[in-house]
Amino acid sequence: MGGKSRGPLTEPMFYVLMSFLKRDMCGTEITEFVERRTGGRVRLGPGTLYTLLGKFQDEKLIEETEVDGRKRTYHLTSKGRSVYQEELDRLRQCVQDADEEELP
Amino acid sequence: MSTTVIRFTPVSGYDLLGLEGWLAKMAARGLLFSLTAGPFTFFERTEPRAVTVHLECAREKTDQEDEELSALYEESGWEYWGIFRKNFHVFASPVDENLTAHTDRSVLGYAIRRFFRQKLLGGLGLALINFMLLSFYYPGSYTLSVLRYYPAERLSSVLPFFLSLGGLVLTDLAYLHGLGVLLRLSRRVKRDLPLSPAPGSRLSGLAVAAATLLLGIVLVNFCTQLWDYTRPWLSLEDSGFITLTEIEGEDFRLTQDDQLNMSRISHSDTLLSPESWYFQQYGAFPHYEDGTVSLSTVPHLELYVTRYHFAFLAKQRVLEWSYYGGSDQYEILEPAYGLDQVLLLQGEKGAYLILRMDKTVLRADYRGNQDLTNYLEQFAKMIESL
Repeated sequence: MGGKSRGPLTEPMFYVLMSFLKRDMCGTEITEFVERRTGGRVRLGPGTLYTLLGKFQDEKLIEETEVDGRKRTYHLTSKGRSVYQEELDRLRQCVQDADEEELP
Repeated sequence: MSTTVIRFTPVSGYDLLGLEGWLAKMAARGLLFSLTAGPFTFFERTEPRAVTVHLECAREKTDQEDEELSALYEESGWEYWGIFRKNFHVFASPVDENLTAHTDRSVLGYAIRRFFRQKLLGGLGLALINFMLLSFYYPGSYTLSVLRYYPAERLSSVLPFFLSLGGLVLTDLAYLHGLGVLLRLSRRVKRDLPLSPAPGSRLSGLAVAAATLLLGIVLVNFCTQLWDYTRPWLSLEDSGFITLTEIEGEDFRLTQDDQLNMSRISHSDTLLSPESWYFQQYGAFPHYEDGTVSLSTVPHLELYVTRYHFAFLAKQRVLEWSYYGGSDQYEILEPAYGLDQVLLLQGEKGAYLILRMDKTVLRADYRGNQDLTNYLEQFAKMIESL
């Protein structure tokens, strides 16, 4: 899951990584970002987000920068940015392939 | 009326769907999950509620609330209830709100596989407990081999071992069953099959209940053993025990060796052992360490008394004792003074006397010239006074 060796990212994974591109974020902000960015198309359940944050931390794609009460803020690492970019390139390639192979 | 209700957890602690279903069912009866302690689950009595319960696998074993997780869930409309066996964070939401905790099956699959790997490693800890407990209570191959011939005598030394063995086997089976349930759940997630709360298999719950009972008995027995070691021995004066001096006369000289001339009665009483007493007195003799005297040739009296919980065990013990020296050599005497059985093996320089009064048995090993049958009444009174 994610990266060349892990296969493609799922949509929630992709959007969670995307949420960190411009600034560090906490869980609530990530949920709001994904909701807003996808117009509600991609839903991020609390269990999914919690597991993803733990998984991305384990894989060093994000790192914790601040703990403020119940709020934990995370930062996208260069490895995380690279994984996101790889997935973005893959998706672009998919779209390009689809464009070239136009429907009759 | 107490607001806390305790229930034995009927399904495997690894059965997420089974536990979710059970906790939701309890909530519908007005019992809201509160906490767990070992195999028990504590509930708070409230109004019945129709809820969906979700168990979120903890990243690592914990007894602390994960505040970030709780915040995420609460903002999505879930209510935090507590931690289940350090493994799961428990959340609930009203059934009619139809909330979903996991919106990505591959992420849920990752969480379950991660949890499965943790529990698989936990099995190493379980194996270690198996090894330690069984080695601690292993009674030795000799005891096991003679158990069929001396069941009454050896029972107390093998019971903790067999109870531990039974408890651990059941625990291991429950553990393996739990891993199997986790594997099946992981496959369901991978195949995108529905994950509605299920009644859950009661096999693991039953196995854990039985294991808890067996291992609990072993634990209580261990505590009573510790307590037994610290208990002072009984005073000889107040015990009513027959002494070598009484049999041989006041002029008889006893050894000065404190271990061979006991001034107190050894007394033992634990959960898995019958209550027993031991006493010995030896006559004076040149110290045996100089190698010239064999203890068996020194005038002495040794008394072994055991009180069983059941008369049939006492009868069996009499039979087992009668093997010493050959059962056909014992003379069966007419019971008297309330004794139920009297057996005597009279030799040239001493005697073995075996007595039974209901559930209590006594064996006297005597080296001397007196006739022990003259003291049957005193022995009977002695047994009665115990």
